[in-house]
Amino acid sequence: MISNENETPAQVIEYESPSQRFTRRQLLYRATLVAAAAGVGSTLLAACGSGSDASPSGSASATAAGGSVAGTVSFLSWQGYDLVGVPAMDKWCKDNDVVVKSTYISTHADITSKFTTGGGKGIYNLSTYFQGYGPFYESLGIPVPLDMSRIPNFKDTYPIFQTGPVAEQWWLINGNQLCAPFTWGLMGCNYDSEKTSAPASYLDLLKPEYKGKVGIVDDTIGSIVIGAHVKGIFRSNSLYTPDEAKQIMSYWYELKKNARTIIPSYGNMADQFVAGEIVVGVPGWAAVNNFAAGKGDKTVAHTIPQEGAAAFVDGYLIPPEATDLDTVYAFINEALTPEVQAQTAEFLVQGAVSPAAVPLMSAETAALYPYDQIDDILTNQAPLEAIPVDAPSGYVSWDEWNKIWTAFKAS
Amino acid sequence: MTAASTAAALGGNRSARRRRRLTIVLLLAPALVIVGGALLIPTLNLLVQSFAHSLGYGQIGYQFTLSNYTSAVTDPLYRSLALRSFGLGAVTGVACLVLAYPVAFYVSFRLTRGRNLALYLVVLSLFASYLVRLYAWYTVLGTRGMINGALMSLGIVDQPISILLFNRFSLFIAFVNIFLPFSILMLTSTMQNIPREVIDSAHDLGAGPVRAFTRVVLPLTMTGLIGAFAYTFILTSGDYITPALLGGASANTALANTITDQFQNQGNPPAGAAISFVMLVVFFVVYYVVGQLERFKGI
Repeated sequence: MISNENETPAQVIEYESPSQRFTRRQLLYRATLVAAAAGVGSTLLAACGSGSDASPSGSASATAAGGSVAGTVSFLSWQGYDLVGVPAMDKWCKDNDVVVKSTYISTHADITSKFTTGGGKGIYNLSTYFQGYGPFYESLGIPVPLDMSRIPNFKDTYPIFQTGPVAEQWWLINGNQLCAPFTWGLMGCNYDSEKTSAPASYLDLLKPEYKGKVGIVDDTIGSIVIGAHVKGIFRSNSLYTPDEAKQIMSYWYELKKNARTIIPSYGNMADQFVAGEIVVGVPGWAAVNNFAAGKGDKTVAHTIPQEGAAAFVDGYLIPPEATDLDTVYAFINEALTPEVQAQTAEFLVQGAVSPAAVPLMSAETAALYPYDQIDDILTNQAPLEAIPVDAPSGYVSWDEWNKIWTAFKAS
Repeated sequence: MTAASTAAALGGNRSARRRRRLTIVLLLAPALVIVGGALLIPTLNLLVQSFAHSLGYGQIGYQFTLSNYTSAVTDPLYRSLALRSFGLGAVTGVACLVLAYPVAFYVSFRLTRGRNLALYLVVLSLFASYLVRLYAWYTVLGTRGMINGALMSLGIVDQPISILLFNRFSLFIAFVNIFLPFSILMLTSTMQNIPREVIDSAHDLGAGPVRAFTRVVLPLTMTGLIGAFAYTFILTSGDYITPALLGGASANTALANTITDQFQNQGNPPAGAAISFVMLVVFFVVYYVVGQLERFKGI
């Protein structure tokens, strides 16, 4: 996921974690450096003009999804997730007279606020659903259950995205399909394969040989998940007592003794590998391999240590009072075709949900995510986690976690 | 002059005044619209939010509360970060003044032919973007940076020195690098407004170079000193990018970083707004206190 958050005084190219996606999407738009302090989203008109060629892609065409396809997709979410710039999607829009009007967010809270008190209902007809906030969105009534008969290509995605406990926990809730997953990612540990072997355990990073060689990414949720894995107390609902929070943080305080720096983003992690400042980076992200390779360092690799890793899945949601539904459903359906999926994986440096997309990717992109183990990864090695925005009493709230993490950084 | 011609003249004057007022309003209007729309309205919105409740991630309840301010002022974490941020701002401000003053003095009173070239070079240093200049410090102070490269090739050290980067030192260096040109320009501008005759008069009246400087030049440059210090102090204290990029493991978080965290990670705009206004109040107080030094201008 990449964002084009505007930074002061010039736009930075940064890539961040699911909990910080406001900057990660900047990968896509490195050419559009701008200045802005607020980092608020911009509105783009990604108009796709008319064309005459038939859409070449898709196992099920847009028209097969039902109804007229031409219309407007009013998108509210991260830049890049509107797939503007994905060649096959651009062509489909052009061929089908679909106009994509995008409003980009700078934080997940923008989605919450727009569809509760912010007046987004009836204005936007497409947004995205990060599984970590999914149940929270559901409690606020943000996603409208999808009519999956209008997204036939979803049947061709990996089964784990369609049915079973993972789907039922995160987006197929009480039989309601709250989103259509279209991308995923994995966050373990990055390392310089020329300078060290893949760390088998996060505890290995506490050894003296890593003194001054560790980069810790400023990623609150990734750190909670990994710290919980290290302490053997991981829970997918991310509800931890204050004592458990202390246990989780004890790992990070120990690791900080070996830290060279706290890294503000995953893009900056790639810079630190390239500059030779760090040998390992944690929480890691598989995409960092690509970022570093793009800067000339092909030695950066990603591994999932034995304790586990963090993962994320993002899907498309349709908000209440959405209009142009035929267009929106057709858009989602097209986003799940193998060709668009393969190009999206390259574009976003993230995982595809369609197995037929993998052979269509470059070898480097296909190697980033272990598609052959996807069930085991999302079930056992890197089970998905919630953001504890609604923590009940007795558990550490999201506000408290952020404060705990800030205190850690400032220590 | 007849009554009629007097009345006509008065009417003409009134008409001219009206036209002048209209012209002034029209000339000011674009700036007022921009300032009002882009600064005042968002600031007022933020002020209202700072007294509101957070109802959970990204949601705001508009019932009046002071709890955001209470937390911003009394929380030990915020106080510690505030001390760190304002302390760094003050030290950087003073350092920039100390370094900029001799340069500005030399450019203003000693250089004649090369003055414009010197000022052009100072301005030139501002052409590179803020972030580019921050990233440039990686290539100077980093493990594979210029300093380490030079030290190793000269055989002074066997291994790169790691203490050059990712600590308060590198943060301080970067801030001084960014704000020194502004300080030089502000001080030069002030010094160039001092009539040479005033200094000559001081000499004529028996003042030596030191006395002429301390009793004439320094007081007359107080406005520039105050401006340069306040500018550096406010922008350094409020910066959140430089600490994140160069602060390393120990100095990566400033008070401004907690504001961005509140808005972006926590989805708690009321808390972020309250911390922002506390910072703003501190800036006003510091500016007011420093501004009192202007009284010494008249010595």
